[in-house]
Amino acid sequence: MKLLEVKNVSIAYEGDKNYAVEDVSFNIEDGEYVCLIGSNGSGKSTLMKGIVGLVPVTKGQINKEIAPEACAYMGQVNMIDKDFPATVWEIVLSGTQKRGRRLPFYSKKDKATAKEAMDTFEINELADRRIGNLSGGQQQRVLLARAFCRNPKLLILDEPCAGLDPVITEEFYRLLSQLNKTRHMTILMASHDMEQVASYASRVIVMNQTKEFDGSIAQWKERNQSCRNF
Amino acid sequence: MQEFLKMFSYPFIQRALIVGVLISLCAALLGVILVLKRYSLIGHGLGDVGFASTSLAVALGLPILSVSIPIVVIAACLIMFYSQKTKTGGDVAIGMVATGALSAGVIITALSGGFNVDVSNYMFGSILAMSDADVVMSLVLSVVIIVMYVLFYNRLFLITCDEAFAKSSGIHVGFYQFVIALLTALTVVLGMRMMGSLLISSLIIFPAVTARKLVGSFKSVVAISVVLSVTCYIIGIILSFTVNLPTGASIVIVNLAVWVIVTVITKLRG
Repeated sequence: MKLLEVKNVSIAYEGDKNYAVEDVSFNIEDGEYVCLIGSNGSGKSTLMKGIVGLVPVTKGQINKEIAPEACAYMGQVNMIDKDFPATVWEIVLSGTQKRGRRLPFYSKKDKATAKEAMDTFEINELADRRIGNLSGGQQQRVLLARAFCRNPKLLILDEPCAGLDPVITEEFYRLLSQLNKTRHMTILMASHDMEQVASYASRVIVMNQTKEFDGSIAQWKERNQSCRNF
Repeated sequence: MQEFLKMFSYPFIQRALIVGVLISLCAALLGVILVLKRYSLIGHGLGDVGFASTSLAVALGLPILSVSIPIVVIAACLIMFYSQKTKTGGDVAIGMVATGALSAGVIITALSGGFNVDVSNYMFGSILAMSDADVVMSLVLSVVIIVMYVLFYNRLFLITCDEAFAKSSGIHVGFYQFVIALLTALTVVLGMRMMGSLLISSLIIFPAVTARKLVGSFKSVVAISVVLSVTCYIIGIILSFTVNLPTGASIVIVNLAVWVIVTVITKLRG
């Protein structure tokens, strides 16, 4: 089943004549673990923002075959203000908020959902800690737990490991892989590091403003190999 | 002591206390959001707009609140709109609106009879500013601000904490920004008479900044800001009355002193 369709999408920022993303098309199928790879400035982050509606799409279409609530977004960990006064519990719980809900307060069910998400990512003992006092890896799990509160079918991550050390990054990718396999969660992740991603993702899309490559890891390695041989 | 208690029997002190406590409460609630979202100068810009609208109302012989409220609300929405549009647009917009409005106010005042004690009171506040009608109006609007804040609390937290996540959840961020702008404008208009249009922003900034040094959760920062704000206000009023100091300035100095004490203590504790 198709969850997301990106159709001839081009994105240009306001006041900029050049496209950051140009004529990109692909589909995301149910159950995939897709990695969007590209160097800094390749437009992958912009495309991610376009998909979740943070920047407007200039040309083309993005069709979501699932309800907007079934799609969760996790931005970069280093975007968190270190001094922001919020506890882990407050942040995870805020993930249960949805559009159009009439109740202004959290229900018992919301709290149970948040509790379950914290159990899943083993951050229960951090509940009362201030987010800024946690390590990068812990913050990442908090943000993932928040996204998880929406029980998403499709999880969209924009460079979730930017600025984190390789050990934590590795562990995080493994966690995502687990979610993908055991919970059947579809994952679309942007990253600039190919090596580590390669061992977990089922498919890679390489971006450099336009789409340069789309296929399995094996195909990608094969292509690189033949390039080298050549 | 008797002399001290006697001050609370004066009707103007009672009015100043009732209205002031409500306003400092509202300002502290909003201040947490504004400071964390780096919008804290909005209050200052709006204070200047408040001054211009007050001068206009006085020149036209109209009730001050009925002129100030619409003008300040519109200015708040415009500033919010510009700060959304561009990343650096916010402080530029505030700078332009603030100085532009202040100049407009000064020109209106000069044309309509020149500077007098009233004008100085509009700028720096007066303990005598509140009439009975003002008290009623302030009561109603404060209740509106508090109720809206409580109803939207969770949403406001989400938007303050992570706007991108809120947007990606399909939440209409623009609407809540409008709510914040509206509530801030109302608080500024209500508070500027007593605090002074040039000093009102201190009620928004100080309590939140101080509270943030003390506690770690958002909820407790909101609670502590409210307590600090109201306490500093009452101490400031007492100081102003007993030592005969300007009201608005006394309240700001008390807030500043509390901030200094808290900063020193937190530094010493490491």
